[in-house]
Amino acid sequence: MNLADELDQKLRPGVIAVAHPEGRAEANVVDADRLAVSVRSLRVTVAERSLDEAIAVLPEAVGRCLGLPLHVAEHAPTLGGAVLRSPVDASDREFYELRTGGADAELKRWRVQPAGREQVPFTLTRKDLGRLVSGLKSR
Amino acid sequence: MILNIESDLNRFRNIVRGKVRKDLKKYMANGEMVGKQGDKFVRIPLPQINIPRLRYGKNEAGGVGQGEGAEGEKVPGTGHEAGDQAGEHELDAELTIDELAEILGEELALPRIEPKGAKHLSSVRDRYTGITRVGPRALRHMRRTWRETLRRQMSTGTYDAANPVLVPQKDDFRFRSWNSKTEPQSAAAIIYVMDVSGSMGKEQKEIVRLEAFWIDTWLRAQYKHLETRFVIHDAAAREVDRDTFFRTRESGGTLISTAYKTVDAIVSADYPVEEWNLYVFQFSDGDNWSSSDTKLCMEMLQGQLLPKLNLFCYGQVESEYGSGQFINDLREHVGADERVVLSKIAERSDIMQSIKEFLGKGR
Repeated sequence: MNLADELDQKLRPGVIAVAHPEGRAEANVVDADRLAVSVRSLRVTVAERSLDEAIAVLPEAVGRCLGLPLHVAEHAPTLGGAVLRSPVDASDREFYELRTGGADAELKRWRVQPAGREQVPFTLTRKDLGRLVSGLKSR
Repeated sequence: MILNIESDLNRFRNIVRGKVRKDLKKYMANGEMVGKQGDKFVRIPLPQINIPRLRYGKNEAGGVGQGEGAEGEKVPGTGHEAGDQAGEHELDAELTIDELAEILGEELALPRIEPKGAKHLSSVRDRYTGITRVGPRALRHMRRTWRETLRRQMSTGTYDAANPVLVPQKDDFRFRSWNSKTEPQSAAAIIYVMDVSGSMGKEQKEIVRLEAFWIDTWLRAQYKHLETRFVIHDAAAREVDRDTFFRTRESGGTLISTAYKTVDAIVSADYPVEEWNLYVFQFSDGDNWSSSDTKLCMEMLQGQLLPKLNLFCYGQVESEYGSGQFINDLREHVGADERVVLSKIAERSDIMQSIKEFLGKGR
């Protein structure tokens, strides 16, 4: 079993964390059933990956899983991190934001509101969640 | 005749002022006026003539290629050649910065700013108001010298009315002398701070540029002596010139505390608090990198910066990704302070309201 399978087996509402020789995955699960899962955030940490390496691979690897391009909005080596964003969906004004410090990568979804941004859960099939975990640990 | 010309000119000026007042919101939202700014005048493009448009009539007289003539036959021309000058569609009217500020103040109902009582710069002005018996030749006062000569010659009986020759002697010479007058002068410094991190786009910067122009215009009319400084920051801050301020785009993250440190250093080095009215206008999309940096910002504002400032204005410029958290943090920690004004600017049309919020306190 890989990291994605380990996480898949433990999916239930709440904060779920699994460790595996490949890395560590943590999901804040809102709801889960036999086919799909709704999560507020998904964080994957791998043993070794530099910030530059993460910025090079994550837009492609994660963007493919989401079906959306990700671009680097902010890249701050002095702060040891970067922020990647997907385009804002015109219909619901929502977008994905991926924060990475190199070894770790956390994905969230935000809705643009007049009063500010609101974090919203995103729903994926269990299979797509597995792909996303693999994408987030890409090197 | 001169009176007629002057009254025409005044009438024209009133029309221009009325036009500018009527369309102020439009002018504030586009950059035409900003690009035509001089030292004392602003050129304002006023639409003068309407551009002709084609309007389709009823299709009763056949269509293209339905008339007389053979294929390839030239259409008889009118003999006139095409012009080589651009069409004149707009008239540039000139307004002084003071006139523009007056219109802005009237339209937004802005109160006049009252400089803080103790904050005055003293300027020493020399005025030639006195007369002395000694001085350099360059400052000889000839009329007073001739008068003294005449007085002496008449009193000593050496003046001959038939032959009125005046010969000044050493004691007759008078010279201009000056008095130094110390005049209090209100002085102000504006420090603009802009987040140029990767998340601030071109449109956000344009909004900041337009807003800064109007703030400058208003404050320049309020203070005789106004200095402007510019600070940009992403994860690090630095002072730059005006041009760099509006053109720079970085890709780094946002650490707002670095900007506050730079502002504090500028104020400490160049603007003694008891002599200057200090204004800080900060613009950002509100996405600070970390909550720990936000906490540091609040501590710096409360402990170091706000006590030195007349006004601290924060404008949060929205991008397509919405608005960040920083304005809410400011509202929570320093929102009650009367020196703090917070404003959200979602798009260009919000600039007018934002300026009203910033400058409406009369501080």
